[in-house]
Amino acid sequence: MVNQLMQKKIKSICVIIILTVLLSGCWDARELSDIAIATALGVDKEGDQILVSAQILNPGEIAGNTISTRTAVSTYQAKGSTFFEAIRKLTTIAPRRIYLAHLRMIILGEEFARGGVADVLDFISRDHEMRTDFNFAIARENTAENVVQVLTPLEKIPANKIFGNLQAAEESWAGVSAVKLDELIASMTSKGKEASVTGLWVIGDPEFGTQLENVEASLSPTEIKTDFIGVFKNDRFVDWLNEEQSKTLNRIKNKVKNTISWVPCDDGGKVAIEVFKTHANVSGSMKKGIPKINVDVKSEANVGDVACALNLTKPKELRKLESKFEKSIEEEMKTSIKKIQEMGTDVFGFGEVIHRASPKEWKKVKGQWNEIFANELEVKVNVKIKIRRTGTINQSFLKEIEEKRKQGE
Amino acid sequence: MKKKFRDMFGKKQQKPVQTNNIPSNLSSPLVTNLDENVKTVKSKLGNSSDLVTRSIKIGKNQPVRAVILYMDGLADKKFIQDFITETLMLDIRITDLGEGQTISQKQSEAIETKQTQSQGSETKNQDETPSNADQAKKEQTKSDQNSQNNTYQAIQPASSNTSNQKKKTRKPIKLKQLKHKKSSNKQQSSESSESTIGSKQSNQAESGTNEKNQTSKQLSIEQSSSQSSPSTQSNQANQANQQAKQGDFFTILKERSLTGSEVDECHDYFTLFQFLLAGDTIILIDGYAKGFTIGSKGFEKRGVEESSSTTVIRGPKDGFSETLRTNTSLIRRRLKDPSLWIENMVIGEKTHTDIAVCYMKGIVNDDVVQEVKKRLKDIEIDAILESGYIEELIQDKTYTPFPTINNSERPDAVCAGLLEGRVAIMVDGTPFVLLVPSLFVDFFQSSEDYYQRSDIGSALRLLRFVCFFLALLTPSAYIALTTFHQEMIPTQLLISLAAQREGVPFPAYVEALMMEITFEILREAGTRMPRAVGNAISIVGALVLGQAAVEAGIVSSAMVIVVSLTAISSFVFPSFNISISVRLLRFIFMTLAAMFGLVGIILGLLVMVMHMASLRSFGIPYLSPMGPFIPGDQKDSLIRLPLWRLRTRPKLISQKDMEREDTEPAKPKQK
Amino acid sequence: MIEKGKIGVRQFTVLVLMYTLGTAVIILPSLTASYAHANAWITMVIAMLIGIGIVFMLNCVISIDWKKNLFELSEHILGKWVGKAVSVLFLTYILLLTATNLRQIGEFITTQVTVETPIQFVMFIFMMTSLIGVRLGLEVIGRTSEIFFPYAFTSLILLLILVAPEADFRNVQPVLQEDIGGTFLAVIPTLTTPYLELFIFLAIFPYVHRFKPAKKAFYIGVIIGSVILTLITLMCLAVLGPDFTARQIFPSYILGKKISLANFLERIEILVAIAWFFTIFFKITLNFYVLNLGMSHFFNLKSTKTLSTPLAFIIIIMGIILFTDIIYYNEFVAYYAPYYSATIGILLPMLLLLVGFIRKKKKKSKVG
Repeated sequence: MVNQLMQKKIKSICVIIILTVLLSGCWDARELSDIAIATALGVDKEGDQILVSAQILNPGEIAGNTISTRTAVSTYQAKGSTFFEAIRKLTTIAPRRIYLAHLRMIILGEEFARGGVADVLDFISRDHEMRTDFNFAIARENTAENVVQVLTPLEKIPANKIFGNLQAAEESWAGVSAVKLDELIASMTSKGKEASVTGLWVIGDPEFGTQLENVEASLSPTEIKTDFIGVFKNDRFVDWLNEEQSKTLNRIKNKVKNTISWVPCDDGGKVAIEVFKTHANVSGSMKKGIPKINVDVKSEANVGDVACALNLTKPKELRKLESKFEKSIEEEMKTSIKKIQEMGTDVFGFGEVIHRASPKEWKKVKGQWNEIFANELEVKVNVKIKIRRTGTINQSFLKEIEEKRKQGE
Repeated sequence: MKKKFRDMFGKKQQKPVQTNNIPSNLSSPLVTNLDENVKTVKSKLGNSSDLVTRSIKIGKNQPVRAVILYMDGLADKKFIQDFITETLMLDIRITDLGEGQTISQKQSEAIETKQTQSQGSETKNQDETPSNADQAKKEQTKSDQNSQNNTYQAIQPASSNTSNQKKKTRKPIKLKQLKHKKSSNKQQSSESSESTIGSKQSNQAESGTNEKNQTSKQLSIEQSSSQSSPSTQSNQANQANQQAKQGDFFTILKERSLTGSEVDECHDYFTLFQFLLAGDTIILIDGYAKGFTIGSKGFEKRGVEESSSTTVIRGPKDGFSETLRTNTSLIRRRLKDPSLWIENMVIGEKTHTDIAVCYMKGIVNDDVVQEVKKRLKDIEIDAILESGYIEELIQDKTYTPFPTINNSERPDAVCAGLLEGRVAIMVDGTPFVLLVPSLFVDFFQSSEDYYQRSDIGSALRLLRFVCFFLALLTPSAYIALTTFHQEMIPTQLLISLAAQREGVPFPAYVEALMMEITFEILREAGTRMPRAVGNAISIVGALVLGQAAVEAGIVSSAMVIVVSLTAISSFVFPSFNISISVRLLRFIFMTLAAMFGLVGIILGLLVMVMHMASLRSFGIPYLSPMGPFIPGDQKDSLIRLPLWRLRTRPKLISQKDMEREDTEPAKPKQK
Repeated sequence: MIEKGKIGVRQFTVLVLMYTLGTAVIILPSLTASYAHANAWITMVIAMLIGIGIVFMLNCVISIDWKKNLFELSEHILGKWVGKAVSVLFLTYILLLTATNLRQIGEFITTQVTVETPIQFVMFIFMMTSLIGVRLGLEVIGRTSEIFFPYAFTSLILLLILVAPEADFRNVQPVLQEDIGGTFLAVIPTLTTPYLELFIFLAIFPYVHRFKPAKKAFYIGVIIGSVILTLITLMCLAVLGPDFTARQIFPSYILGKKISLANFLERIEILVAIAWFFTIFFKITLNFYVLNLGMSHFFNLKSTKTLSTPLAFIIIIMGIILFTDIIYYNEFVAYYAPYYSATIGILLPMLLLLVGFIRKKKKKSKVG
């Protein structure tokens, strides 16, 4: 009995000791008031060193009860010989630990991007705080630092603005593409594919954009615009695509959710359609060392905007319109592909298509694929458009207005 | 010695045996001297003011002194007055005939209608009663019920047991009254003989010498009764002979005059006190070293009211009360089946608390019943003041936050438990009835689940399980998410949480701990304080501690939401014990969350579930039917399927008589 | 018998399933993808087929006398001394295995979840939880696994469903055109975890209520587990791409990060990770339990609890000193462990089977 009691006592003492030891835990605990939530990182080159600009949230300004005249975000900058060092150096300026798990955007300066981004990407995929759900963008003809600092109206957090902007533009414009980390790395490492990243423009004076006055005006003098796509060769930024090329790229990558395109009418004026369903089927083959790519685009569309006298009540007219659009888009795509081929970077991933189609042949050419892509690749484009609806009205009233005007004359 | 005490109470409560832990003079037998007896009783009770002694004289010619003892407040005074004092003083010492008649008139009104057809059998019945101890014990329960319900004035339909019983209690009166009416002369003589016998007996101390006198007296009574019912004459003559052998003044008194249903003799002080303090009346007669105990319990008690701890919207509103008999009757009223067995026990060396073990014979697992009885018998304690005492003394494991014995204030819930093969333990003095074995899922089941439609009942039951986890884990999850795993919080939410926490001086853990403890204090205050100041608590709680603390920047408003959610969730359970354990465990989980984040919570959950899986309630795994998983019992655990799907009883609890019903779902005729 | 508790067939199935998933779910996708690239899932299918063969062999072994556990069986078949020697081999392996598994979960947590917490503490609290389980007995482990199984199973299935929209099956094409050598080579380390570790269930078999359904349950558990493993590998490849999968240390956790439904159901990878906590916990606990069981058989102890506490601490220490770093560990798993595991997990049971078979024949011929 006594022995058992002693044993129990010893046991309970052991448990208490263990618990007290454990209580000294909380190694990872960090209070919400001890972290600085970073929403955007800008990466630039300054000589040999990497300059990181972090956009840090000021939660009290965004969701607090009392709103003062301070800005919703603050930018901290630090230089370091590697990206990681620069980020850690941020803590020498920032009052709190930088917390990266809620990052929305990583903005690469154009100049920096031309020099290669691989080592930044390595840190990003290695660090446990980093997730994979943020987007990449390139500051077009600008430094990332300038873009990060611009304050935006309506959306208090500029990074959220850009992020939302990208999503919206990708869905209903098709000229941009929201690229995430794993896709970026995958296309940079793949031998049959190259990366493409959306560009960010700063419209207006970047200096003024950092001021609070920028968001006090109804029409902000300085704004950030997302448009066009930059293409990479390996991890180096090469060139910008124009609007048509960007659209073509997205069409082939099956990223178009909703976009518009227009053609001129026969009698002057323009007619525009809303393409709401696009599917591109890319097939390839390689025979006798000559790679061939077939792009079949099938789209469904609605008539969106008629600015000429067009008789939309007749199916024949509609078919005519369809073939007009098909031709126009085909033409646009063909020229765009040609241009991109000239750039010598396979952002479409045609190489992978060839790889899947004939893996044995692929092995022979994968070493010099980009050259083959630029010089030898034959690309056939075939577009099919089906106009389903004409919106809420059929015949445009423009005809009547026209007639009335003529009568008046 | 203690064991002896236990054994004797376990087997028979009627015949207490002298034991050592009772003062030796207490267990000593009564003496023949009345005054000395009374004096001893009084002094043993320390001359307590609630002991009432009333000395009377019985008989006409040679009156015998007798003392009626009862505890004021415990005994039913009206009963004593009507059926003890009056019968003893008036019926036996008949000096005034007129008075005797008025009584007989009054009481014969109700009886006369049935008098002729049932008389013979009743006499027989009554005669057998004292000779057959077992039968007496069995019938005691019924008579108890009678006396406590005080239904002397009403006669219920003759089909039930109770009405029989009532006739029995009336029988002696009737006999006597008949005597008064029809052969008053003879009775007078018999009365006188009784008294003479009494006085003689006092000298000769229960010797059988005056058998002849007794026989003659018995015969005279016999004659008087035979006039009223000639058909049973021969039968009664036999009985009279039988009685004559064992009968004396005492027996005559007992059988002819004392009209209470529970009449017994006591020979020593221990028994005397046991009955006296239970509210019975004691009659001590001069010259006898024994006395009568007459069941006359009639203390003040709460009626059957709505249960306060478990309320339902739809369902019976009656709840158990503090009286054991009322409680058993509430059960018996719902389960009119002979297989409902109620076994009595007395536990507590000082309190002598009545315990009733109820179960459905044939459904219940007999091993469980044996185990319950064994554990109850093993209890050695001075007092049982509430069923919580019993619960703690018989539960399988003491050091566990989880209750392994359920309790209920609702008769319908207990009946449902009995029908599932559980054993109910009722304790006198508390409305809370224990139900064993009880599983984890039982604590989430309200009797209303079965009264509502099954889909709604299931949804509500699932909601309770969700609330279990909410009440258990909300604060710890909040701590873990805000201090360890901010990446899991959506950005917008994180920003607003961070904005609220700006300026809060405490870590989230301390903040949570503070608020949770504050809430516990509020809750405890709400339970303990008088109702009249109830509003003050809500004002203090809501305004001062909630709003003001947020405004002062001491806590974040998200924290207040978390604490409120936790608090409300913990009130959802129909059973209060589980919510207490959840509240306690919550603090452990909060600490774990503060140390290791979600990993800590998960490991805590693992340990908790492993502990629960190791628990058993009277041999039944606590987590069944989840672990071990019993597919057949899923119909009534997390959800409740329609009643026609609940064909069988829970598998582990009862293995006998599994079929509950065989109803097909109703299908309207199709035309 | 040392263990008095019995577990049901359903509990046995769940335990086998959890054990199969166990640590495999976090390390296999990366391991196979690094050899077989886009064909990693084919590797998993091949391994599953071989695994079923191993289960068949183990079922044959236990059929010799299913009332005896692994350690009793080896003494029964091989005689007292040789049997004990074989038991020592088994026990050393299980000891190492438990320590390795503990280290794996420790590495996982310190890499992905709580980075700054010392791995020793993570391992310590995990092992203590496991110790509590072992001390409570096999019955409790079985019941607890039943309780947590629905969560673990549904969250893994949900993971597969929720990442499905992100899947691009062009990533796993062309099927079996390249890396064919790697595809088959990768089968060897894939077999190590979990298939060559399944022999520990030979020690659990005698405590299952009914033997015949238990044999079936063994197959069912392993098959379901393998299918889930294959599907998760396939999803890793399809969603993340073969190279990205191979590069990650815990790709299935990254897979959880890809869940994004309606901009609301996201950032829930830790809930998926919790499912793995459970599976790994039961794997460690089962290993630890069998270790205790074997030890108490070896030393003729009366209870499995006697050695549990010191063994727990030995395992923690071993887990810490066994591997200097994660690279070393990965190399060990990929290159060295297969041979060791094959010896213990296939050769020894085969030896038992062979000798048992010969003895049976001899007995029969003697009787005849």
